[in-house]
Amino acid sequence: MTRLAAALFVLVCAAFSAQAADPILPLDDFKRILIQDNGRIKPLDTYARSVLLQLSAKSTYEKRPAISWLADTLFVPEKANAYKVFRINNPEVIQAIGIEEEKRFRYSFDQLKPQMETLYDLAVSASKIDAPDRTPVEKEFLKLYSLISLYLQNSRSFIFAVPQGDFNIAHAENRSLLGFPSEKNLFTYADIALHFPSMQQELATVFRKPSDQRTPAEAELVELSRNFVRWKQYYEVNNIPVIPRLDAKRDAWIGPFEALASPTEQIVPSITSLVAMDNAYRASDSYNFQKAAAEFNHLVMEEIGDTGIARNRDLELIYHSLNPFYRAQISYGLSFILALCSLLIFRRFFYWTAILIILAGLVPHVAGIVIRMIILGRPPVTNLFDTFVFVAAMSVLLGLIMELFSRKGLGLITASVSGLALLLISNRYAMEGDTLKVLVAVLDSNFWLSTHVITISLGYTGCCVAGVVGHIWMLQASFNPNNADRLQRTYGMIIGITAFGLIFSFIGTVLGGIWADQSWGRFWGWDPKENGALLIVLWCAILFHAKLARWIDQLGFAIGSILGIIVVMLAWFGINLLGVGLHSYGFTSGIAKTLFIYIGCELVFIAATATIILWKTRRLPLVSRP
Amino acid sequence: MSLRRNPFVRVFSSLKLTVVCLALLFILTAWGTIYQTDFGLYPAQERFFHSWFFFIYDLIPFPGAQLVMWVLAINLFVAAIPRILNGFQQFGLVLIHAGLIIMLLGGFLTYYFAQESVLSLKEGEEQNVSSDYRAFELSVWEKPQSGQRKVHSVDSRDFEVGVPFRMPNLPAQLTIENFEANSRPQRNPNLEVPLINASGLNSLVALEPDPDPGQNYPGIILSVAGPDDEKKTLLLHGMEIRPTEIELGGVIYGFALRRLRHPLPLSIKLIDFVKEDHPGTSMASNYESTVEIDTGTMRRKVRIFMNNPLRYKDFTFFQSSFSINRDGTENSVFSVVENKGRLFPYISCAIIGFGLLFHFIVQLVRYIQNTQPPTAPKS
Repeated sequence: MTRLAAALFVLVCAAFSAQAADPILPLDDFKRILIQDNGRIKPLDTYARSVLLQLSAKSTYEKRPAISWLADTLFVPEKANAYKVFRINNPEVIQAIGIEEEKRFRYSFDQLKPQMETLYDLAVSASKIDAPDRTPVEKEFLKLYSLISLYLQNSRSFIFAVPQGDFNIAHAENRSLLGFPSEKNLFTYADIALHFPSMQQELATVFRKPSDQRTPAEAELVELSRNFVRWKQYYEVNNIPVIPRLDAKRDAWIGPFEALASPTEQIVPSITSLVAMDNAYRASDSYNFQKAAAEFNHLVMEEIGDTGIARNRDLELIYHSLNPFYRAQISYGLSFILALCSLLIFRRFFYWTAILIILAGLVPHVAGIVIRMIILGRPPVTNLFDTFVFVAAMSVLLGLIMELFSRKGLGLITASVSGLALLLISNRYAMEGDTLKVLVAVLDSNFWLSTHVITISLGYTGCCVAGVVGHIWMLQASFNPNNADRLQRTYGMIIGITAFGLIFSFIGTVLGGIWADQSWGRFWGWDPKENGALLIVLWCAILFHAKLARWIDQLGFAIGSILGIIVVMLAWFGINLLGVGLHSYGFTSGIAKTLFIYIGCELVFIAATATIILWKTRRLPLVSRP
Repeated sequence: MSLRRNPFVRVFSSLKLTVVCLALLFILTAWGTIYQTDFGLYPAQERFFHSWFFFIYDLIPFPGAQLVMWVLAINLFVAAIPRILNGFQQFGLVLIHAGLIIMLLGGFLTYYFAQESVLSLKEGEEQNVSSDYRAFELSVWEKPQSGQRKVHSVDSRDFEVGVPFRMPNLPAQLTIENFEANSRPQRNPNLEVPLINASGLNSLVALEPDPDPGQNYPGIILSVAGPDDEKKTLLLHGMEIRPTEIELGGVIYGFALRRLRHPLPLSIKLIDFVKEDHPGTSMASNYESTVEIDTGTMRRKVRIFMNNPLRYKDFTFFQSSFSINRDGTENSVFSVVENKGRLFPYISCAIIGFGLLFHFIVQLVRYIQNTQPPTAPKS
């Protein structure tokens, strides 16, 4: 009966999950357009999220999805320039640039534009300093400058589709020379680029005439060609690579400006579609916008001919709209609260609801991992973000297995806390943009990724979960140090899970050594990442041997397991903060502070609970059955 | 006195010693890692991991990892033997610790006997020697008409300033008049010094030796006393690419101060080097070399790429990196490792891994049996 009630409760909650606000124009076809970014072919939807995340630390703008923001940026940049998307946290940066401070730390391009020169000078000075010696403010200058460049690259990429004063052709004879209709005067860069090669001969003759002998029409032609060349040079770099160019030597995709630089018959339909998209969007013509986007997609798919990419793209769209890890976090958090409630009142109802909800969170969590594997074609862990997501899932599983054995809620609490905490950490790494990344050459080995990386992740899982149970032991002992049975059970869990962690950390470290031997020629080099893994193995070994030598008892082991989490965190990403060694490919900033605060909190927790326990037990050794 | 009461055995089989050693190793690893960020990998290795002792503030001695690991190895050995002799119940634990001893032994073998060097080849180039990362040598050869040349060399660590010596292929007496372990060469047009040098260098400025030996470039002033009492003085510097050539008794000899060469058991020729980037980025997705090796008995083609080295006898050749020359051609860079103890880690890890799993499963089964309440009454 309680289980039924719990199930109904969960279903009701699920029914209330919110929907994102509808965009102004239908973007279904637009978000499916493929782009090649950072070595990977992905839908514009992912690209939009990635860019917006980097600029704004959020993947929505004013409740509109990122793709809607991107559409405005590409097609109506005048409007988008006023959107406050640039997130600048550090007030010193704002003061140095010389703009007014915003309470919510977000600024628009229009606000930053007048001070671009100042920012440029600051960024240039910062770049002259050696990277390790830069202060956070100096790093911010460089980062902001590169983000603005990224923004401009996007906001200027469709300027070829907009009629411009520089391409005004008043003289009818020039228009007919270029093959343009006679009704309009104003043309776009694209128009000129496509017709430019055909007028080379005429231009040559005109240029040979001295300027005072040219007719007004010829003068206009010269002016036109000069403007065109100027534009070409200036906008060459503004490209979002949406047009595939699959020739044997280079399979890098190109953007519209690059395509127009050396136009062929082939690209004309693509350019036409893109121009039609731009025009339709500006005119808020949803029908034609969607038509043009669908047409463009069709052209691209014909060109690449690979249905695997289309399937992956659709999978990726589903993945992002599902937002699986966010859902998992919510579930784990909710489950944790319910599990705590179950200790107090309505035990069975809360307990079973908590179980159902945590399972409801695990499903999208695992689904997310599986989808990522399919999209990239790789084992589940390939970068730092992946490690947190994977270890979170494994921790939840481990906790649930514990729960299966003990049925006292211990495993449930451990599972929900670990899952939530680790996913929260992963959010920080999701901020970097697109977390589905390609790999550098040395990591490009599915065999080692699925063996070494997975076993190390399982080792991290074991030590983290053991530490969480350690916290529970400390709390249980502070409340009632005389309940020997309960403490013994919890203690048994810590031992078992630490052993699991030790085994996998050891095997993982060893596999890492073998991989290094295959790759670099030496099994062990005292590299920081290797040392980090060794520290975890040594720590677990110290705990076990100290226990055997009767130097520590239950209390000592519990404290040791909590300190073990700190060792794991330092090895996991503390090492990357050092930025040295063959392993420095996970570098991120701003994490050091959080890490130190965390360590401080743990030490306070240990000190507080240990004091209570020792005081309550009058410093007598606890009943320990090692 | 029984073995068990022997103080040496008691100390060295003590579990407490194990804890102390593990804790020291922990401290050394953590400390050494942080030290590395400021001073570099090589100095950190020398100070913390390869040393027996080092001094804090130049005063207080602290054990280095070598000492700790030797003590651990002895500890393991001494502690394991009586346990095995008395019928050690826990087979898994025996395996684990036996494997650890083998691993430590392998580590010592590698440390004492392994040799790492580097080989850089241009497309079409063939070599049968690799270069040391740190040490230098004085090399002398008779310039051949074509083809291979025979080189004799002296390790720079064996240099004795002011002491005359001879080399087997040279009819002259050599004396190192001056040797700077780290120096900067100069070309001073105003200096009237009778020093012979291919690059026109005529003086050496001594520099403070860098803690990372790979960053030191030595220079020497070498006097050559030929058979007809012709005395020539050469200046040679570690950074030079061109050798200095002099004539002695009608024969031209080449002299160079260059990275120590290690002979290879085969000669290796770079046929083609390919680098692929992830499209649209400058991040390498793959780089590989096609080489042709000559082992004396045959010539064959081999592909060397990431995670796929070439193994021959005790040598391993890894695709390490590449460089682009000024004229746009590419050099493929290989790291070469000679290590007789290469297989120890593999063997030991297999043993330990198996032991760990075995022990864990035994304990898990025991735990499950203990926590399940007995269902059938004992008859």
